[in-house]
Amino acid sequence: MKTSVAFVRSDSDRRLPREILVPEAKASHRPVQRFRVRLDSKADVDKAAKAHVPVYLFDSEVVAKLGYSWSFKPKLLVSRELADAVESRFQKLVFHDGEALPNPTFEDLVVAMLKVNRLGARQMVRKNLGQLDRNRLLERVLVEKVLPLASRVRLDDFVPGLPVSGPALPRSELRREDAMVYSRNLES
Amino acid sequence: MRPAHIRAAVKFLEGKGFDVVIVGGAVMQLRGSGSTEDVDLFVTVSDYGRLEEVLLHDTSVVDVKLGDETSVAYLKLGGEKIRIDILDPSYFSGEKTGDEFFDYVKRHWSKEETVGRVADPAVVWYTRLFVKKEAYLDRIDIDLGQGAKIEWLDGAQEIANYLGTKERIREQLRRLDELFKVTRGPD
Repeated sequence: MKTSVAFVRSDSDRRLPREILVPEAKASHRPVQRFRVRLDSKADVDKAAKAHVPVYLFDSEVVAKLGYSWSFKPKLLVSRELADAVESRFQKLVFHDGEALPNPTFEDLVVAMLKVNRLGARQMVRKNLGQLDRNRLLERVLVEKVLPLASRVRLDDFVPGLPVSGPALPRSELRREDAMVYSRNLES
Repeated sequence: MRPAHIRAAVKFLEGKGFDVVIVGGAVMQLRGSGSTEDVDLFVTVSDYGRLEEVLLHDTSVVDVKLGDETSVAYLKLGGEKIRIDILDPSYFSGEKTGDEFFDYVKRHWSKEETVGRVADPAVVWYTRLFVKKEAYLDRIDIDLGQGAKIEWLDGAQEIANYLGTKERIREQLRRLDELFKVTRGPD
């Protein structure tokens, strides 16, 4: 048996803007119109988020604001439950815990970055230690099952109690990575 | 890094009579896989040998660190500084000479574009595999997540075959395969 997820739009619930809704073909045994959500632009994602759909566009701009300059193709963060009901030209990054969306905390963004660029995730943490909630990052890393990625870049250096899983990069290489990023900052 | 900055770095060295091929993260950026904050450039062995004379006496170069395999220069461009890493191809050339490797890249593994002569990503991955640093394997893995093509690894192996560095690369490829198992879990 296969689980199917879709959005429905009742008369009393007009929050979901019509322009991002894609109607599914109506099956005779399903009198209620079912929709999927199609998000192809930042504006679409903003509309969906405003309607409390658990999605978030994770892009270079977000990462740059956290002090790490690296451009990449935007990723759509989406909760696992809704992943199949959301269509997008953006690559989807699934969050097991949809509660983190549509307003992710810094720790949620670190988890997203671990999935995209773990070396960058370490730099984000290093640069924002003042706002890091270590307990939340610990919890989020475990819930989102990114412990091997966190271990690879030794996030346990910053998060006491974070278990280690899998081989880590040598400290000498991480020191070099850290120094490289900081020297670039000093130049700017 | 903006393509204009990559172009400026290339033009700077070409203006000094250097033969230049863009390698490193700039190539991956130009191919849409990630980005870089410095420009890595291959030059010929003889050009590498005259870096000191060229870089130390140019007022647009604000800082220089000369090394045996890689030299770093910071180029002033308007209000900004560009970091250029200049690589000696001899370091990577295995059984061939550095200039043979440079010519091979130039003839078979690069093409002229608006920013300058750009190496094929296979060259970039070859250098990353050759250096034997774990973090470079991570960079390849990250590039792949950004849409880089796995076939580029075949190209890296072809380059290694030509240079006689196959064994060295094979060990790194094995480690890369191990890394994939770690970083690509059930999700």
